[in-house]
Amino acid sequence: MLITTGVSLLQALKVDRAMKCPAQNQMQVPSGYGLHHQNYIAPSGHYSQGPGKMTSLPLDTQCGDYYSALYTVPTQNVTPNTVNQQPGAQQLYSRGPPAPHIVGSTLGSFQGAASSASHLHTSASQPYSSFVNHYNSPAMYSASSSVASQGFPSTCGHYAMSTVSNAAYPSVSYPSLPAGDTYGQMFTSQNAPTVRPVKDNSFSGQNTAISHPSPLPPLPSQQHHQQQSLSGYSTLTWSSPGLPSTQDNLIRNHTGSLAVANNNPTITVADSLSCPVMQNVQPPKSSPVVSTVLSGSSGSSSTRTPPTANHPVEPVTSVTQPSELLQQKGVDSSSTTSSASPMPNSYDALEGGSYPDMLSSSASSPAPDPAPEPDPASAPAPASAPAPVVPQPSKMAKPFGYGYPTLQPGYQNATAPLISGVQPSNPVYSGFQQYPQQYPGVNQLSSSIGGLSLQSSPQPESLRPVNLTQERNILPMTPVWAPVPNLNADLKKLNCSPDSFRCTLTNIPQTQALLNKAKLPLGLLLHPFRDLTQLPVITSNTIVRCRSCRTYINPFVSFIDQRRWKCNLCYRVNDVPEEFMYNPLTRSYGEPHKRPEVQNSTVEFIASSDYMLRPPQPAVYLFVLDVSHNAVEAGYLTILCQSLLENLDKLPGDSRTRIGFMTFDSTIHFYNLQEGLSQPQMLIVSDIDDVFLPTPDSLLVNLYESKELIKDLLNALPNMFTNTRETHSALGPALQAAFKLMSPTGGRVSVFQTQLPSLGAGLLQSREDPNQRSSTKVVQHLGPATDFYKKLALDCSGQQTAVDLFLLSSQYSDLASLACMSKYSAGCIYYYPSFHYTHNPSQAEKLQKDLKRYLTRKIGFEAVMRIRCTKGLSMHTFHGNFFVRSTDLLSLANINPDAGFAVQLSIEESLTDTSLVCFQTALLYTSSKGERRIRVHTLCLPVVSSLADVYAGVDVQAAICLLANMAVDRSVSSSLSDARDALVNAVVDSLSAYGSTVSNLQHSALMAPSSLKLFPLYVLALLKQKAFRTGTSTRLDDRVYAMCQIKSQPLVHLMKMIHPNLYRIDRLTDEGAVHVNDRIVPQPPLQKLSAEKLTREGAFLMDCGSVFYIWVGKGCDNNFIEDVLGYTNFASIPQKMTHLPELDTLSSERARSFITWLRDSRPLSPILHIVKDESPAKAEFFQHLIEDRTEAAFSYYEFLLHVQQQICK
Amino acid sequence: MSMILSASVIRVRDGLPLSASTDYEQSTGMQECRKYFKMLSRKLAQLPDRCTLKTGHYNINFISSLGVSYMMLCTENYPNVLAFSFLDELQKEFITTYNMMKTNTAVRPYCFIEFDNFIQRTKQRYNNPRSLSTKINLSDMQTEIKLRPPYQISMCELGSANGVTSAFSVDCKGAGKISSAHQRLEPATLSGIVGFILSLLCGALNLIRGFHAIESLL
Repeated sequence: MLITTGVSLLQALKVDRAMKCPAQNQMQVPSGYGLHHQNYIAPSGHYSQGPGKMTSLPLDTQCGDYYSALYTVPTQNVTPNTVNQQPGAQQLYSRGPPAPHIVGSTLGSFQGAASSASHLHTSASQPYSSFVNHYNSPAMYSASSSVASQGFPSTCGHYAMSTVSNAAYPSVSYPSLPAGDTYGQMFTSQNAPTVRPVKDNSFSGQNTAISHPSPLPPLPSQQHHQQQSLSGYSTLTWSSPGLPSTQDNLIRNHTGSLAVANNNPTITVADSLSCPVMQNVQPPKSSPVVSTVLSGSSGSSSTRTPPTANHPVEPVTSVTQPSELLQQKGVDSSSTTSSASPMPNSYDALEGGSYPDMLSSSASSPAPDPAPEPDPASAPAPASAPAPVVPQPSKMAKPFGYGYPTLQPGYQNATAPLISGVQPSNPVYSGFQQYPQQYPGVNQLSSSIGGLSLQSSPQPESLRPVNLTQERNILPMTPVWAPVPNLNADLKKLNCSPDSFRCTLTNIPQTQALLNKAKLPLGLLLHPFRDLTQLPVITSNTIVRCRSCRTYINPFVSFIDQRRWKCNLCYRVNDVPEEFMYNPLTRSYGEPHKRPEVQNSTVEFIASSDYMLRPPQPAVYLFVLDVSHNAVEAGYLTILCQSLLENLDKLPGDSRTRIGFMTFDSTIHFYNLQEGLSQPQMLIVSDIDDVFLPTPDSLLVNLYESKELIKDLLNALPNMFTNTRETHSALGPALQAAFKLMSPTGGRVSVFQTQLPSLGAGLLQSREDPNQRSSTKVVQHLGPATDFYKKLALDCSGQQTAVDLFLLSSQYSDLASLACMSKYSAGCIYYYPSFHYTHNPSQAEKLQKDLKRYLTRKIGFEAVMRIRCTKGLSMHTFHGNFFVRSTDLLSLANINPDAGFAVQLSIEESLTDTSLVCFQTALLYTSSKGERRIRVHTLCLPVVSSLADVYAGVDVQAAICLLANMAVDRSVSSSLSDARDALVNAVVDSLSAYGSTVSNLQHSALMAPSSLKLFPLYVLALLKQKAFRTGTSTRLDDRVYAMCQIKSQPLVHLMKMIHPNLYRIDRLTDEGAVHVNDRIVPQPPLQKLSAEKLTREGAFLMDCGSVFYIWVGKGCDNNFIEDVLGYTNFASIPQKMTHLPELDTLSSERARSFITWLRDSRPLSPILHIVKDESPAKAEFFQHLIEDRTEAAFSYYEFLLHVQQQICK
Repeated sequence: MSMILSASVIRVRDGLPLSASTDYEQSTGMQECRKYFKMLSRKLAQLPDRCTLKTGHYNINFISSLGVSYMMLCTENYPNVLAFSFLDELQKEFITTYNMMKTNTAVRPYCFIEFDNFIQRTKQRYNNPRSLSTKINLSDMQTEIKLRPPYQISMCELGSANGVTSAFSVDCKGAGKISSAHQRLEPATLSGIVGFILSLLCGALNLIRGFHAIESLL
């Protein structure tokens, strides 16, 4: 039955059933896509060539015309983490969301540079794993030492400089240097180093090192030169932030007494070179060993090295990475010898290589740490101390003053808070790790002092055994960063940003047997459609791909000659097409290796019509709204309509954009918005058993042609149903209708639901027994109750339609069933428990902000994603919201920038004949402007053959996220307790496997390699996460929602969900603050999640990803309460407070800017709860203190003991 | 029911699609026909500027001018005159909206996809005879078509004979496969086998005769 209301009667009920045309299978991928691995050619020796070739490629300035098309999406930087590594550069690139403005403000043109810089940075972040290697070989040592000596003067030079400029470093230090050249210089310098083939003996780096020394700050042109380039950078970047950042660095030193002095000079230097990192990176190529050293140091310096970095100098026991050593030693020595080789004429070359070399060399010498494991640091520290101290007494003071290392929470890897417990002396070094430049000073000292016996047992920092039960402060004070794969510098520089692409093991084990031995999960974590500020977009007639495996050409292929390239995934040799010979960037012919495709691991191609099965679809948005009594009561319509009205013009799309609305309670209401009508026309279909569309067109209308009608409707909607008495909800039929409406085009359906669907197809019953919420035994009903929603989702997916679910309910709504509609159609799920627009204002505000993001964020339509990997590896399980269409083809009706994916890998054939493996994600989508595009990310990782190396390369965060995904699957398919056991076993197995590889350790202790030291903590956090916890009252929907999030969130956000960050905010200072967008953002250190860290006198901020808590202690300083919270004393703070007032006080400003900054770093706005010490709400806060014991769960220490017990069993 | 189903704008020079209608009615038959669009678009340069292709239940009509071709798919009973006047309208609008420079330098497929809006509206107008305004001077078009009827493309001309079609589709999907030999060997039929044996026998007989002849000579 059909009822028409509104002005005019509906003339014709056209029930066009023909419209349900069979779903034609929309394969978006060209058939070519499918061809896989037929003709793998034996890989053999060629590969090695690869890097060599690669290196020869100069890193091009990507900022050329070519990129005019640059995708400037405001939000996140391409490589935030990497960038952050150096404090100086931090401001420039660091901030995710704010980033855009920064770049913009600094300079327009700068972007290009920035991009290249970012590459560099990435590369800079080095695998600390390899870190100590060089120490072990005495030969090496000598060589390095000699180098070091050369380097020495330079350091002195730096010293002087630093001392001079120390305070106001950024701008002051090199003011005299012309900034003009900067870019050119920078690039050139980069190029030069890159050109060197890996194996090339002429160690340009050395030369540079030599040259470097000469440049005393005031003096010679050479030095000038160097600095110019650097300073150019720095000046640019620093203009605003400069000062603070330097301070940060300094602050780092606070702990180290003597060392501090040393550090400072170096640090300052480092800072001044806003992008020193890149330089560092380069030398490694020439001499791998050295490079490793460098990498170690730089890595830590760059902050990448997560927790481990603390004891950079530590000798540590095991000599990992023998293979590297073997291979590279030769090179090394040669390189060192060659250092004497003629200086390169071009300054570029100098600049490129010099700095790092110096560092590396110097670093190598000091490295030798005589002391046994636990306190290796102590020895070097004193040694190093003397020299630096003398030059810079003044400096010392500064560092001390600063209480803590202030780095951006998000972006620094700085790792190393000092570890108080076991290794008192280490702190000194922490500074070192963070700033590679520090090394020179120290190293030289040590070398000059005499070969100090230190070299004994080199071991990558990541492998340093940590006695978990003894180390009290396992959590670093600064955020943990992704480890950097241990590749040569060129590859490192080219490698994909860890924000987009991460692997749980950055060293891929050679065989499945080895992987099994390590007992670690192997998989990838992807964030393929991340908002990027800079992305090369390539338009060419032919997209160069491997003929057999269809891999897109990428930086890791090797060019056999001008005309042929070899695929790095299947090793097939392919021809270089004629068009590819011309490089539009440099306008030169015959340099295929300089094409942007080969210079960037993340690129976007404009696809030809071969990649289309139909003309690109328009952006189509359909809103399906619950208007039953319950929904009207909750009042979400007002917020939704308001947000839509505000963002109507910002909806992504072109002039073809279409939009439509449906509402439903026990019937389904359509809205005819055909242009020309005087007012929207409501069509009611009450036949919910057999839904049809009341009119074939004009339900989805062109946004621009019918804008007035749409606005009318949005204004009217909130009040149309105010008096409804309809309590039923026919969600299923409404979805069926939506599917029919959308199927011709595809697009996005946004469903707003507030209760359990109670009518028609897909109706659900309440399955939750509230008494079981805190049961420690079985948690049931994690899976769907009906397959209706899954089937519907699959139909939608076939028609390129994604269904996004907004669940705003106060009662149980069976999210486990409803979520299926989004899971399989590549939609997303939002859940607002106990939503009410007046009773729960914080949720209402969150909805509003989320909607803003949701409506305006980028969107890709009719997408497919395929992940390819080097022959020998295979993917077997995918996690995320999508439908797996064929073994490795993910069908994504929509793709949004907030979607993350995970893939599990297995090693099918041994990888003995290759030293590198690559992974490539290709995402083919139609942009909202109707362009068909392919976004390609390529990640390259080394292959290792020893267990120690595998442990050295663990990316603990990636591993934990993958495990979380697996655990969700397990709890649905098996049971929650199974999943929990599996999580615990993951820790037990990996640690016991590690224990058995390290023979000489006392077995009574629970040891973990430094790379894994956070593993038990994270697993414990996971066990206490809403998704997996037992014993604590958890509503089923909350639990299921947490699981949905685990499956679909990208790693960065997921980590916050698993392990929140805790900061003390009642004493924020500007020490170490960063400048973001003309705002000063304080950077308090991370606190571990334990009540032990809370004091009644303080106020603490906990960042749980989607929620912020500010806990105010009873004895909190009244000044803070007054200045920040706006109340006179503790007693007067209200129970429910969700906003910080805008007070005109310094501390309020700091607190607010810090919180805003945290907020900006994520797509969905978190809610803020201010929790008083005594309020009942504090339980919410305390449940996140995962290191503490709860009535139902272990404390961290207990958990460790439990693990240990299990291992001993 | 007679109606216009789909339309497309294609550059003649290289067959690059410039715009197309988003098709809200979809049937498998129509999907098939859209493939002909692709095929035709490759041959546009060799075809006259006004053509019709009949493919079973559907007709494809197109006109080309100024390096751009306008193509439409309609049911077989849709009047020719209306079809061409529809194309004419598309052409006029397209030429006025986008200048030649733009269309000639376009690289990306469907870069004028927004023209879809106009196609959509025009299509709707033509599909609803009642609303079709009398403004269109059909008589002109009628005489024009009478004087110069559209060239009828035959299937074989399209090169869509069995073997080639498949080869073509492989190519055009960019599979990049080396297209293997298109001629396939077919299994021999019974008559073929008999013929083969007989000719073999004859050959043998002739050979023997030959030997005898040589022997007799000697």
